[in-house]
Amino acid sequence: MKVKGMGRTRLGRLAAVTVPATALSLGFGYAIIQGAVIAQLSAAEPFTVTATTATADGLELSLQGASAATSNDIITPQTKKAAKVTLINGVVTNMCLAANQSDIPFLGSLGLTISATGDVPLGTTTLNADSVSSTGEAALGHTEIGVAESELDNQAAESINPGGFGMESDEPLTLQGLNAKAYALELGGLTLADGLSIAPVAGEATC
Amino acid sequence: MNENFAARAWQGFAYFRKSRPFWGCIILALGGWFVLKPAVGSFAVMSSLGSGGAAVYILGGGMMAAAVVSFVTPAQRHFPALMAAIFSVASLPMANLGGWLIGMTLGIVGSGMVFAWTPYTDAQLAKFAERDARQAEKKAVKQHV
Repeated sequence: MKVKGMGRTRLGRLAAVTVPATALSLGFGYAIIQGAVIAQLSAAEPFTVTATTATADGLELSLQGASAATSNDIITPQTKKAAKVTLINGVVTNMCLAANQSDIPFLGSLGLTISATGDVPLGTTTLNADSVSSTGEAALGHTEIGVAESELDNQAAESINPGGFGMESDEPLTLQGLNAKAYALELGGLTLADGLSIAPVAGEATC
Repeated sequence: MNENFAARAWQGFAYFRKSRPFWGCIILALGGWFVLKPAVGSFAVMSSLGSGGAAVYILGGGMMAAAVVSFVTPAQRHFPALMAAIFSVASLPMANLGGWLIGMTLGIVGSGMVFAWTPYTDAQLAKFAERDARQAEKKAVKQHV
C-alpha cells in the first residue's frame, strides 16, 4: 500500500551525487600521495607511526606539558605529557601508520594501516606525540639541549609553552627503529617512490 | 488485541520509514560519527588538538547535523545532503583521512542516498492504486470460482 508522502531512492540522482564525490575524493587521495595537498591527522586516540630508519637534516624537540582536566568527569587538573618533534627534510624508510577505532557497536573494532616501502621523503614535518622512541641506534650531530621552546625555528610560530624545554640538533642525523604514538601529524610534501598500500582491517591494526 | 496493536505499530513504523530518506540518514549519521570519533576523547586531549581538532568537529558534526535535518524534515533534504557530500570529501585531507576512510565512504554513500530520495508523484500514486485495485479484483474472481 503506497500512500502520499512515501518515496523511493532514485538511482540517477544517487549517481549524480556519489559519482562526482567519489571522483573528487580519489583526486584528493592522489594529490595527498603526490604531496600537493597536506593531510591533517589529529586524533584523541593516538595512532602508531613506525619506520625502520629516519634520517633528517635536523631535529627539533620540545616537551609540552599541558595542564588540563584529568577526564570528562574528573576536573582536577593534571599535567599531560606531549612531545613535539620536528624533522627537517626528513626521509623515513618503510613507513607504516596504524590507526584503530575500537568499541564500535555491532562491529567490534576496525583498523586501518597505511604502509609505504622504500624511502618516503616527508619534508619538514612536525609530529605531536605521546611517545617517540628509537629502538635501535640513534646518531645525532651537533645538538643543543635546553633551548627555550620559543627559540626553536620550526616550532616558534605555534609556541604554547615559550620557556619550556627544547632540544635542537642542526646536523644530519639518523634514528633506527622509529616508533611513535602520535596525536597529530601533517602529511605534507609526501612523495612516494614505490608501493603504497592502504588496508582496512577488521580487528586491531598493527605495524 | 495485543497482536493487533503490534501490527498497527509495525505499519506505523513502515509509513514513518518510507516517508523520509531513512536508511540514507542512518548511513550518513554513521559516517559523521566515524569522522568525529578519532577526535573525541578526554578534555585534555581535545584541548591539546587545537585547531586540527576543530576541523574534525565541524566536518563530522556537520555530517551528523545534515542527517538529523533530513530525517526530521524530509522536505529540506537537498541542501543538507549536498553539504554533507562536500564535508565527506573535505574530511579526507582535513580529518584523519576521512575518519580513517570509513567515515568518508559512508558519508558519500549516505549523502547520495538522502539526495536521491524522492516522494512519489500524484500520477505514480494513481498508477499504484489502479494496479492494487486490479489485483484485488483478480483475487476476488479467483476465490469466487
